[in-house]
Amino acid sequence: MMLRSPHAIGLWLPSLLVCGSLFWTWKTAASSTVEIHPRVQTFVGQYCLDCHSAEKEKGDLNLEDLSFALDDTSTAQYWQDVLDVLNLGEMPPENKPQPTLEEMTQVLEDLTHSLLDARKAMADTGGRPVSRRLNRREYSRFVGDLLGVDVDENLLPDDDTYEGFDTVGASLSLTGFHIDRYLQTARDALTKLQPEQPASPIERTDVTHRGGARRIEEAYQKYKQLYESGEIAHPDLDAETYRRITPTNRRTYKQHYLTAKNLYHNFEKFDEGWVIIDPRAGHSVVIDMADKPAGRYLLRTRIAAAGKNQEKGRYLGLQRRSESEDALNGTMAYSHVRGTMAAPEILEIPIETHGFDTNFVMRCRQPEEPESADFEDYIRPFQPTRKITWYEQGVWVDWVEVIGPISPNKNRYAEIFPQGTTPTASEADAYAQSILQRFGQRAFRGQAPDPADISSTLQFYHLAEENGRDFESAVKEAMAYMMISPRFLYAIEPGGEKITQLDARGLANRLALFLWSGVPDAALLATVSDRSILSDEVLTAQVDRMLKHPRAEAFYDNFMDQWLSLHEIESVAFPEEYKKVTLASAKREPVETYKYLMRENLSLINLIRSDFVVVNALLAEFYGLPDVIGNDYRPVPVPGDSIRGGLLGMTAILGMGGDGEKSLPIKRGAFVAAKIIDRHPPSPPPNVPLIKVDGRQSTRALFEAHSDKASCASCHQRFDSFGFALESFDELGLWRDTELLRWKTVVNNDGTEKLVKLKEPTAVPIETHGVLEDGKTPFANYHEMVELLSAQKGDQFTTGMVKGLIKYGIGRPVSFTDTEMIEQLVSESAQNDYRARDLVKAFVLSRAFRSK
Amino acid sequence: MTTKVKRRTFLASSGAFMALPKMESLAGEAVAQADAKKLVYLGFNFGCSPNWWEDNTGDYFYKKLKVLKNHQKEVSILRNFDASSAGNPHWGTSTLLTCHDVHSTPGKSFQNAISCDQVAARELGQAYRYPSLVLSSPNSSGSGDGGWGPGHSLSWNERGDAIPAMTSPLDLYHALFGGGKVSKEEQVYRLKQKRSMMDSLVSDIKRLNRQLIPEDREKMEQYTSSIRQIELDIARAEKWIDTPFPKATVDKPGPHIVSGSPEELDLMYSLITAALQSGSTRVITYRQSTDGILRKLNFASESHSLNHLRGDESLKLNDSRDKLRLQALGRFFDRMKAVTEANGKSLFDNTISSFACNIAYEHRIKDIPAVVAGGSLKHRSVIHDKDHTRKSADIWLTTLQAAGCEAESFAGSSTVVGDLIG
Repeated sequence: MMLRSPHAIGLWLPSLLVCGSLFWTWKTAASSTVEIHPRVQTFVGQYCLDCHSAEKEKGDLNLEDLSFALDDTSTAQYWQDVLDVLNLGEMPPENKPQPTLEEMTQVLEDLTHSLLDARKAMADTGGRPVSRRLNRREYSRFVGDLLGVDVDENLLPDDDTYEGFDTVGASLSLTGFHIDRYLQTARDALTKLQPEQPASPIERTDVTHRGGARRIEEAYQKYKQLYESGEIAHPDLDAETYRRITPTNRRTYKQHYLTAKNLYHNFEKFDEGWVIIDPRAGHSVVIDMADKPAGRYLLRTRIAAAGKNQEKGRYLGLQRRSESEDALNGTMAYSHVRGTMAAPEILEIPIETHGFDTNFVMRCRQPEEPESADFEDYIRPFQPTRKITWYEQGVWVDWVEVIGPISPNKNRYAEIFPQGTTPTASEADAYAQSILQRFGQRAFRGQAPDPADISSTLQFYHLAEENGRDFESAVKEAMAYMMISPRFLYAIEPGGEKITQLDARGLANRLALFLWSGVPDAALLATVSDRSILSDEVLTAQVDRMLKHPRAEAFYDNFMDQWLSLHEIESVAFPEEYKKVTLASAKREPVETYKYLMRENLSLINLIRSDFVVVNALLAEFYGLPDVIGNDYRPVPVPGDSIRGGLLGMTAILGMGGDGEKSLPIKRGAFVAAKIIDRHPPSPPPNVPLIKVDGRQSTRALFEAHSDKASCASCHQRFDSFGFALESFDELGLWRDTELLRWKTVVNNDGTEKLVKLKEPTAVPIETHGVLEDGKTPFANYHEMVELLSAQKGDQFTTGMVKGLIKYGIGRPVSFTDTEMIEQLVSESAQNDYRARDLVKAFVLSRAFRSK
Repeated sequence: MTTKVKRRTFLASSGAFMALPKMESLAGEAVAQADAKKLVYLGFNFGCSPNWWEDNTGDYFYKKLKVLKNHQKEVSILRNFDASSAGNPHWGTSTLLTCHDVHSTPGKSFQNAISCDQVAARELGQAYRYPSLVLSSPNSSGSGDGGWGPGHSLSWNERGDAIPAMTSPLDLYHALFGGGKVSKEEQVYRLKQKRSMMDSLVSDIKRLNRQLIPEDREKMEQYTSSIRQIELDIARAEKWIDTPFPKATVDKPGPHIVSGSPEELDLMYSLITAALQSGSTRVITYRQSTDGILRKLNFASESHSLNHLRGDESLKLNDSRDKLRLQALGRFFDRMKAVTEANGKSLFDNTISSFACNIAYEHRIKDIPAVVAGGSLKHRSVIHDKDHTRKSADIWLTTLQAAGCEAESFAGSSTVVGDLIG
């Protein structure tokens, strides 16, 4: 870090050499005013001032008097205009001395980052969080905790995010529309607050009626006869109708025959239940959910692997089908079936519906299923020489039960209305008041409501009574009102003129919001009443306890999802097979890996490179790892030269760096820059044309064009290399050594060129060598790059994570005032092998987390 | 205070627009309502095909835009307009109608300003059941900015907060034609209750404010102003409670509409036409997606990658997408032309429609695609000053003034597009 006096260009020269070795990190240390990088100042003197001086002012631009200190937005805007003009290559004009490509690249990089830093500095809030509105997931969780019911968050508007985080107060705005929707959500939740209902009867659906050995045999004989006789009329149709059916449809009758034949020959005889083989053979069991209310259910089913190879187990897929075009439609969740026909198992699968789901479909997925399996494959088992293949393996289902809806919360009706809901007229008002008083204390996070709050709340009770509502609904009206009051809707942290330490209650609330996205529980509140939470020991113990609690899933899920922008994977158009089979597990992998590191307090460097992966059976199969059985994620060791182990070997991360059809090395490179080495590339400059393509080029050759143009190279030279090394993975994250070229250039008659798609793509080897962001340290391939990153970039990686924790956990942007704290946390973490849980604990103990 | 403002305040608070014409004949009322120019702002994501600009002859309608040829005399393509420093190469609509540099507020990483439709709603829309209707296609990508950039619609309130949009055609249908089974007594009770809620909340905040730091008080101001907004809504709802909803002029939308498909565009356009025709509002914004169109063209990848795809095939896709988008726009114009209003003009001529995106193509944000249509403006197919880049705010100021707003400037612009009103 350097100290310097502003506006003194002369003083810069001695420190220039020092600057040269630092890149991207140049900024003022002491104040939040950003100074234009000295190299830019030199450049301007050399190439611009001839025309744009106080004297000449060409184009009304006088750079001589333009301040180098970016301390107000209009100065920054002037410099932004200068940057735009340089990016477009419009200046210096052709007839004037031109900078070299290297000079230009450097000055664009410096100016871009000076302006970015300035923008951040000007937006800086001095490290003070703003009390924030609860975001939609927090609100529904708070209401759920408070009432003990499941809350439907679908009415709540989407939240604005800040750098991917939905917890930053300044970005969480509020409009009348929000208040309306929050009120409606609270009301809907209150209607679910009901006396404990006797458990709804469990519906068991026997699958028997669909099959049975006898019917299979009958069907087999019937279809066999029809098929072999050649002149088939469909048994269920009259001759006239049958004539009108097209030959394509007739083929399905052949399918009937072959299906029956397969079942008859290759599977055990069963009298009950039915066998699901493959969706393409039209096999499935449909579970109707159309009339069920939204909520969580438990699906129980008696099930077994059937046919050949039962010992290998099967994957049972559960496909969600809804009438709406929402993102979840068609998604598949898989369970590993281990029961056999000799010993069927009872499998329990939790499912969740959103009210608009029509049904769930049970399907079977075979291990080693050929990708191109289609109907023709289905015929092959009847050929004389054959191996055991997928169509001879199925899942037998005996019955299915749907239990629920199940609420994970205990309905608090009895607690909220301890003396029932039919008080005598003389007692009613006092009873209502005591209910609301108690409810208010919980709603307002342990703070007793002001008498004035209670009396204003009571008017809604009175108003409702006057309008003919019964006692219970009248009290609920008042409760709904409390749940849109600012004391509930906002995470309010009282503070003084200056940044001060949070009191015990404020700290507990912030901690619960951070780790549980919810309210403190009794144990945490106990540390508030005796103020012991203010001591480091008790606070640390609470963090340990809370992280082990099931509620901490909210932290693992949301922090990882938002820090890594995992939700972006939803917009990738993966092939159907991947989307339905692998995607759901793939998305869990980074979260489950982080959870495991946290649980075992292992080094965060494992996220860059590790000798294990945390996977379930499905992912293990995708990665080609043997002997992983079941749906639980667990650590599985991988050899030292494995391509897996660490974020950069995960299919989710690699898949996000692609569009489902091809890999996007620039996106992957930018991911490494942003998440592994904490160097978020700036957004592309406006109006600069994209690279022109020669369709015969490899992806690498194509994007190497970035380095020929200063406006591209100024940023891309820092991260494109990472993406090139990751080109060893295809769009799904599977290893490859060659890349397929699908296009060629054809010259038209008039001499113009056009791109034409090749019928047969040509394979070219992938070039994976590159350099780290310093532009010097070379690596030959993916393995070397990951080794270098894990050996050298622990500090940067951890810095990025701490910044993420600040945004997620304190709910504010990272401030310049945080620099010292971040450096300290990171250096302590480095001495402690970057242990995951210790870092979160140190963060909670930091002054930044504990003050407002 | 000037008399201008006073009169406006009076209009807004007393519902004078409804009261005044009653002194005249009913026909006069209808004519006055038809004469009051309506505003429709349409914004889309991801820009256009580079071919939009290719033809510099000005002969757009016979080549690139021939799908709009029927409307040639009532449409203007505006060239060489952009939001300059208020633009962002990845944001199609965040600042389209605000023309505001969101990074220019010290202490804020993002701060937008009021959009022109809300200026119009405040000034022209108060006497309507809805001062403005804010509509959007749902974000079907399930994540990200959907090519629009931050925000929930084209509309931003006077605090620069994003106004959430109505995204379901069915909700819009119910908003226009009613359909709730709630009794009038119940409605009156609900309004009364809501009014007291707002009163109580304001006093809650006053008590709370004493404990808060200044930054938090600002947050509470946002809360208070949201409550004010609801109070205005309540006042309006109370005023309209005795006025029956208009009879439905369109079929009730079915539930399964694909975001950004031609079907969604047509459906929303027909509802927008109905909303204007029935006098439910005077100002509408509609933020469109094109995801559904791309699916229709068998483009399976995320929509954003079309901006980065190169080669003839992607150019063709871009062109086809634009064509489908413009065809739907043409059908919208047809629909509005088929409605004759009490002043003898078509709804199209009584409505100033605009259609624009802040991204041109790729990362280009200069010379944005922008179309203004109808409204009895002086159209001339193409308005193109090659030598002078103009602010897109000029366009919005022009629409505001042409609709009767008294605004003399908007978003730093005080120059109208003279050719349109000249």
